[in-house]
Amino acid sequence: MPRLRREGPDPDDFLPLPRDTFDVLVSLADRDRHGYAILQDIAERTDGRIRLSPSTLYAVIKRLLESELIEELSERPDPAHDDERRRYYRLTRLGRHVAESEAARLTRLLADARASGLVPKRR
Amino acid sequence: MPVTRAERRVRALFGAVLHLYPASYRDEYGREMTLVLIDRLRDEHNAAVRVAVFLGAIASILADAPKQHALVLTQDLRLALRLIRRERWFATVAIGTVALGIALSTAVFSVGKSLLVDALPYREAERATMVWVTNPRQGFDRDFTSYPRLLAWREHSQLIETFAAYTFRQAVVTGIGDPEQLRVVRATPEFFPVIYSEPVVGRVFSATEEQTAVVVLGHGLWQRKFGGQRSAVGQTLRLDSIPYTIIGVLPPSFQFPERDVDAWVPLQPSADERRSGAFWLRTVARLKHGVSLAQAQQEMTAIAARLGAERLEDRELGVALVGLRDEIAGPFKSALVMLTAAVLGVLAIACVNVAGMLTARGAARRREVAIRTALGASRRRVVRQLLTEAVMLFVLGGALGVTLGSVLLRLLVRAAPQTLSWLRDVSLDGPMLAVALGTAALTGVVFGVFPSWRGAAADVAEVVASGVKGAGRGGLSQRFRWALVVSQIAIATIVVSAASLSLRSLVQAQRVDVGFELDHVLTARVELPRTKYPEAAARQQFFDRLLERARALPGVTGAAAGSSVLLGRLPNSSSFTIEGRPETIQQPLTFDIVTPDFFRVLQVPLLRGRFFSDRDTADGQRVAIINATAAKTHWPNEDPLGKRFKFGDPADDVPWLTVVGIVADTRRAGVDHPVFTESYQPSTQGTRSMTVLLRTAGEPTAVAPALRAVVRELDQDQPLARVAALNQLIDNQTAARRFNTWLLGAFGAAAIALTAIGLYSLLAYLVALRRHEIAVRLAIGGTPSHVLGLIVRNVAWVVGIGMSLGLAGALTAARSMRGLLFGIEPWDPLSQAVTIALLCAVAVAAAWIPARRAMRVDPATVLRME
Repeated sequence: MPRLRREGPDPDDFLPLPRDTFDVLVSLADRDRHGYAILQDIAERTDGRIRLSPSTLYAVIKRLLESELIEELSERPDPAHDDERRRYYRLTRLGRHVAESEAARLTRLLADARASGLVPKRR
Repeated sequence: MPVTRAERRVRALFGAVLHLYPASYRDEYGREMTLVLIDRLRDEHNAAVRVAVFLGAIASILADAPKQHALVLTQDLRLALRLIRRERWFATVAIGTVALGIALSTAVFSVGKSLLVDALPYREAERATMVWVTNPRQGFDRDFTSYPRLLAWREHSQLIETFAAYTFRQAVVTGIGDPEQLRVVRATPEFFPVIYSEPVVGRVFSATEEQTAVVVLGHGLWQRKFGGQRSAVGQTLRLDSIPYTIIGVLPPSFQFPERDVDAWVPLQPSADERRSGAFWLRTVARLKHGVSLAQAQQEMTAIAARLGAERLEDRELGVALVGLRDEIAGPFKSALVMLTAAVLGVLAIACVNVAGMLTARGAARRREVAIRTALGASRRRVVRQLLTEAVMLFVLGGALGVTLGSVLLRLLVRAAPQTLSWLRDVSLDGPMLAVALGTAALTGVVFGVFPSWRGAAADVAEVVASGVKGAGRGGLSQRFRWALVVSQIAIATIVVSAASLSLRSLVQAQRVDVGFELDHVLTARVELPRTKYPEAAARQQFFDRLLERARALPGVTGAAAGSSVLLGRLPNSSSFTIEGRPETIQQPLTFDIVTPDFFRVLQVPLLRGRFFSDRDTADGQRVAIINATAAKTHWPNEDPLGKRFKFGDPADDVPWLTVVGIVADTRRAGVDHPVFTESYQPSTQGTRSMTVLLRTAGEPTAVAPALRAVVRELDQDQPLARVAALNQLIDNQTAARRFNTWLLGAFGAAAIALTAIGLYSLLAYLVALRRHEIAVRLAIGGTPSHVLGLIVRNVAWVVGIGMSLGLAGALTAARSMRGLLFGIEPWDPLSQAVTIALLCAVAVAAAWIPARRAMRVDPATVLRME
């Protein structure tokens, strides 16, 4: 059977993702957010253990924009509740696929760790 | 939310730190980062934590900024490389041009630095100075001294710690391998305290060894005769049959007073030498701590004046102190400065060429740049990109140039004549490499900025609307390029003018009539060891037999000998007294001992009187022959024939010499030397050293083996030194001048070639730009000759202005290279005419192809395409 040419890059090419990158993708998975909202989301999910500095955050954002895993929104999603100066970011289709692939990879890793008794099995 | 004062401060501080980022990155994300930081600080209620957050943000920028710079640079470099691949011709010419400029300058600068800047390999060499006797009235600026004068200097000087004197001597080494003639320095025991470097093995001689037969070997002789064995120290070296104990070996870097000295022995002056007023010793001295050369010079001038007042023989004599570096670099300094200036000119032309090319391309790329700017790229970002391209071209050119430079330097060293043998020690210099590469990068920045800035300033609407044909019509860009080409032509004119002056000087020098016939003469030096031939009669007999047998050799038509080395060092000379005149004449008269056939073999014409003959013996009347200049100078209104003179003072117990002949003047020391006042005496005293001269029917060097055989028959331990054809010797004299000329010529050629490229590319570019205009002119009735006239006018203007500026510069340059000229004035019309003709020819050649292209423009095709 002839192989179909894939459209765009393979999500697996991006794996494994650096921790910061994955965190940003995860926080954009359920909704579009601006920079500080991403930061807050990550801090909440990690009980304040991970607080990215502004420069780290935007270095990640720049990389993600360049590899087209996220995009900048031209309109603000919720004009009533925010500051017009802020830029909002959204996961692209590719970005979602990459995040999913990374999540699947991590799940497999966790399953492997469970199987070998490193992690207590879920009841 | 209102902005507090604290927040304003945070913003200001944070904003300042953001400047560490590349501008494009800062423009894109700086504001966002600040907002995020402010939000974060507002959410934090604990003051200490707020401070920690702020400091963390700063630290994070410090870590991230270099990464962002690296990313941008990588991107720029990738783009630049892609561009170089796309515009292969442009890149090749640009890189090649820079490489040529860098290669030439690195090579020449390395030579210059090694000679003029690098430390000399002697302990505290800056305190060492040569002490020369001067006689301003006679025009001698570097004469030797006598032993009594050396002692007087020592006695009077307070500022000079040590005076050492030395002289050269040829000695035959026997007993180890083949007998060999060595170049030996006889030096007073103070020699090594003045010029010291650590011996490789053993020691050097000390103050207590003035009369001891010890010898210090040069590195070359040690390798040659002892295979570099340390056990050589303590062995015996027989010089002229006298045993000397080897006490040490000097390192290869020890090259004082000259390269290729074989051995150093204590002076051991004889009683005669201690008394003699003859000028035979060279002096090198060591200044006391903290004494400057100028102070010492002042003191020595005073001492010379005092001695001149006290002693007749010191009247009119001065003293010149010449620092060691000036002494070594002196003869080459002006040539090197000239070459350095020429190479700088070539480098400037090369850089200007590339600058012009970048400007043209910058103009041609206005469209691309304008569009990129319109699409949102910041002006700074675009400039940075263009700059990276320019710097990359220069750096690649620089790297290639350095490689080429080291090859060039090796070629230069190999091509250098024997007289420039110190060149062998020169290698490509590390700091010079750094400077060359730095220059390349800096030039890239400077010449990259202008075209780039203009490129990025382009107004997109105007540029895009004007289409291809309008690209680069910016008046400033064209004017700038014209200015560049004018400056190139000016610089090329200066370099070419220097080269043609140098060439003319060479031709003049080679044309000088030395006053004797150079072709078909073989010369060789024979130095009989004092110990083996203590008796004058034995020496006389040796030379009589040698000449007799040489005359009988096939192919030899005449044989003679003279005591001086022809075309070599200055002849011996002395003050003298004319019979009937009360005062000693201080202007030195040279003295030579010659065999009767000397003038016939050299074909020096007899003007009056007679040559020497076999009747002129030691027992008969003592006779002399003088040259025309001596006759004119010392017997201006009388007939010198039959007049008597003697060397030294009237009271000296030396025989009177009767003038029996006057010969024509010769430049016996070489083309660069003046005609001396000369005298000759017949060979009756059995001189120890003679230069044998054989006139041959064919190639002179073909007779050399036969002459060697004759010498060996007479004494098998006696070597023959400096065997050479006389015309070869004169060639050697002009070798350094030829080498300079050759180098300047090469630089001139490079300058011309680069200028031609510059002019060609400018014209080609203009013709391409004006195709439309040319087509219209042709379509409305203009003829191809009108078009040609248009281009010729352009070229004539630019070449005319460039050359006028250049000639003005060339005259200034020529005045400063006066010392290097020979027999011509700096404004030598022939040289300047050649320069002008050459540059005009090059301009025509460079304009030819673009002009033809313009004349062949087909209006129909061009206008239809539009």
